Amino acid sequence: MIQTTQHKTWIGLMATLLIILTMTHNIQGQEMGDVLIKNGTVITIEDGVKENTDVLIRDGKIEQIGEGISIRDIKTIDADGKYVMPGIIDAHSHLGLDAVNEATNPVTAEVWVGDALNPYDVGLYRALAGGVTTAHAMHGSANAIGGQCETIKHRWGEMNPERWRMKDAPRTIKFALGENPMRVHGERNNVAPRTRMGMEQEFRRSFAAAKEYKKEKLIASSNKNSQRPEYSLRLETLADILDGNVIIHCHSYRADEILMLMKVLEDYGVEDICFQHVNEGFKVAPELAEFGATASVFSDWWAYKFEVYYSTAYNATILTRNGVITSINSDSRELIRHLYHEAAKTQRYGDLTDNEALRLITINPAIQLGIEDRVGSIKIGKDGDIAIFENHPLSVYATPVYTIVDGVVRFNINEDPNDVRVDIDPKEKVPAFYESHIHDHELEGCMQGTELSTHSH
Amino acid sequence: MTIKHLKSVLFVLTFVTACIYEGNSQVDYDKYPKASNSYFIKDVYAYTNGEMSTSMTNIVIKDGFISEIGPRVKQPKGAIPLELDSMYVYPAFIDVLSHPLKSEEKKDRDDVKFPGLPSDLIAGITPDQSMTVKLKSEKVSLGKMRENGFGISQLAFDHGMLPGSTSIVLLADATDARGLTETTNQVLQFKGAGGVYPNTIIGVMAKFRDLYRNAEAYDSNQKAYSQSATGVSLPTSSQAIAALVPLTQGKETLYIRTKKKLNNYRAIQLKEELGFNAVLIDPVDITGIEQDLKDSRLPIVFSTTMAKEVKSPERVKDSTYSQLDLETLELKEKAFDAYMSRVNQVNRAIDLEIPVAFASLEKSGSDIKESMALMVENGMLESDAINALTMSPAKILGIEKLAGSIAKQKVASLMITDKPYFEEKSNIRTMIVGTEVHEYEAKAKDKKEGSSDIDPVGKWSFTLETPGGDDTGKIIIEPAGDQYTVTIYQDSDSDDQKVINDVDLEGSNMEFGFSVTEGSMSVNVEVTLEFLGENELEGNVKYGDFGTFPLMGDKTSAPE
Repeated sequence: MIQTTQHKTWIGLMATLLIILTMTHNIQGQEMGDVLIKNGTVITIEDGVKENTDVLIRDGKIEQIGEGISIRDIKTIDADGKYVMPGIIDAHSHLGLDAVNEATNPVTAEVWVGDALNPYDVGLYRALAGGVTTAHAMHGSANAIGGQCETIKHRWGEMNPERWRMKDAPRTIKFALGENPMRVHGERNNVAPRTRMGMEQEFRRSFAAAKEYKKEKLIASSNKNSQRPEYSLRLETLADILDGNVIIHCHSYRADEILMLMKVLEDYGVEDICFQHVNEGFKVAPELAEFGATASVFSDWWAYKFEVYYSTAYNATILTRNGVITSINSDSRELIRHLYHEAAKTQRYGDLTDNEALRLITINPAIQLGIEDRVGSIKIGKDGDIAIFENHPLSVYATPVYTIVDGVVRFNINEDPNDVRVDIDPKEKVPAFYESHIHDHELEGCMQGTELSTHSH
Repeated sequence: MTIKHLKSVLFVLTFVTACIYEGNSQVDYDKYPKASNSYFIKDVYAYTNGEMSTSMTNIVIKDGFISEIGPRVKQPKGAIPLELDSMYVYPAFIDVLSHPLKSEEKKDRDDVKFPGLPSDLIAGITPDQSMTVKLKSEKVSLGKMRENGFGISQLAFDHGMLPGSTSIVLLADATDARGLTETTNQVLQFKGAGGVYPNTIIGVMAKFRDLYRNAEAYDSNQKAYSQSATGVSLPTSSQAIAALVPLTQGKETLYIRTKKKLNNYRAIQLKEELGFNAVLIDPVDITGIEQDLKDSRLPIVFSTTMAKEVKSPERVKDSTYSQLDLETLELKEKAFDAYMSRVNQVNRAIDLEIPVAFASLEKSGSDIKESMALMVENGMLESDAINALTMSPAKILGIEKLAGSIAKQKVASLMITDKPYFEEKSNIRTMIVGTEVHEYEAKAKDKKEGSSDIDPVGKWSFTLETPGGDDTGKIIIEPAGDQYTVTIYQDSDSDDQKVINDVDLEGSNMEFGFSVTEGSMSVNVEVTLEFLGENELEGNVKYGDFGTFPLMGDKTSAPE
């Protein structure tokens, strides 16, 4: 009798283990999952919309798209009557960062917000609940050349920040034009840059120094007797930009400054740039297109400081129609929860098609981050990053119901706990999710950590 | 320094220093022949091989070393007998890192013309500052740590990101009797320089990488120069960079004060990128990241106040269950579980075979017994607890051949108690550190539960470091029954004040909050204060989501 029981238990245990093994695979510590999404309306982005279609994700990758896919023993989601789209990508976020600005120097290319990742920030789960699977965690806009950024995947529940990095995503760096760096350094610290003219010189001076540094290193390495030159992580990084190894993401508003920076980059042979915010992008859309620059904009957010008054909700449309690869970003822990609404506004202002509007939050930001071969559309071989919606994602009634990252269901509206915190401080008096909703998203945008009051972005 | 060498040094020093101790806790030397450097301990229980002996034994100490141990060992000629009959002898505790010096005064940042390029001193980058040198030039009292059972400690500075090199010493009173090893180490703290570069965690990380790579370059240049100086210019570097060379060569270890769960990952990141030896100090809470820490293979050193730092959240009583909504109940249970998880974290680390130890940091180890008792009460083996305070730290510090257990040839670093250490109302009665013997009275009475020596009442002035510069203000603390009333002036010259009633003092900590309204915007301000003694406090001020800023204060007067 006892033996039988043990026997049964062993079989039961083995079965459990097998299920666990087939459901999730750990590749270098990163959890990869298997899931079959049945009978959804699949918005592929790059290959049309497919009704009643299944999507099979195995080992974290999209393996099959088609009708009537049948697999035994796999986690299955019934998407009948629901919309299946690629996970949303936000090209501008500051969520999950313990530090955003190293605001003490106008040029801090050496710093890297990847060092400050905080995967315990509940805002990240809320972004996930808005269908966002990938975000560009950025340095702030306090400095002309701020720090390097980090492309993260919203793998909520993973305690190790290392596992939030999107491995092999290209390096990116934050630049900033205009009022923010002028105020932080010029007004407050009484050092350059104080003016928009001074801004330009920060870039030129930095690139010139990096060129010189590269030269010195080359000489040193070719001469046996010479000493190793003084190491500078700042100049190393700037040299990497000159070598085309880092994509620039530049905080910008005014058209004149946008043109200025493109001229500087041209002079130094730098090509990869995405202008962020770029509220006056509509004025220089053809020039942006010609340079090959991309643009990541707000749908309709402006007038929070002087240089952001000349703006229009048609910005995304005008840029798109001029052939500029454009995305819509959040720069906010609130907007990131409904980027699909933000994208839909381009249909109200500008009549973009469904596909054009959805590209703004999927494949286009993927291109801007250099990860379009991995994410941004539902395509065989791409990462299993999916958002499933009740109602069309561009409808005002859209509700995200599942968010899947690498084939792992990270958000399920039916299993959405009251308290999602993964790191609980017993001393915390007010639980995080009761915390009064911060008064204004401006407080936590790209100027956080620079001063105690005033504007952001 | 070899043991033999150390012995001869100690031997000579014994004669010179035997009579110049201060304080009132030592042996009455007039009773004994002054020139003797041997002690005889008869009929005691000794903690060896992870347990307390069941039969009594004798120990002979000579020239600061244990020279004999065993039940048949006889009193050598001239050895001073110590009256410790039937007491319990433990290896004295080893403290992996302590900050015995009062924090240095803040450097004036107003002189910094360009915040992006402060001097190394203002940036908190002083790895060239030596504790060994400081100990020679300044009188540093270590008696308090010894009183709590510690015989050996690694002393370190505590300002800035790279405060200086450490010194591992015997906690003797006489400066010359402290020598133990020439090994020094470096300390890294994830501490911004307060408004100047590097100000944030991202700045500190980048700056460390930069300094480290430069130290490597300097080292390689020096090597090249020493091989052939012909046609090569003399390598140069800042003092700070030169001081990091031993770390890059693997001759020193970096003790990284993490203070925050995620900083443990940052420490590991740097270690894996740059490849130095490291130890994690004060990780605060390793819940949920234990396996990652194990995989990093770094030893973990907990704060001696670790378990005590958090007051146990009150568990919800059955009678009040019905009055609470499920959500609140769930939150309270979670807070309690999180607390228990902290209490048990050292034990979990031990189960994972992570080398663990303790550090007294700013606290002189005064909470060690209470902390350890709490852990033992919750399932830690006493032998694991003692190991984490003796052999394990000895190995982490690389002094296991010199200290960490009671054995022949080891340094006499012994704690002698009247009852087994973990038994209730046990007292440390004698501490032997090298050539010094310090005796203590049994404590008359236990202190009232939760009471503390700290009296926060009075007028305090404080400096708050914000990225926009330093702000100064004052705090007045007045007693109000068992609690306190706190009045905070955010600017010392203005009458703009906030009064907070019913503030509790928990140990030496105080927490309170208020909100500030400006226009349509209101910000919740949370203040945590820690009283470091009679006249000093430090803390943090959290301004909503703007950030958390460090605060430091001094008592200006008692209340008027």
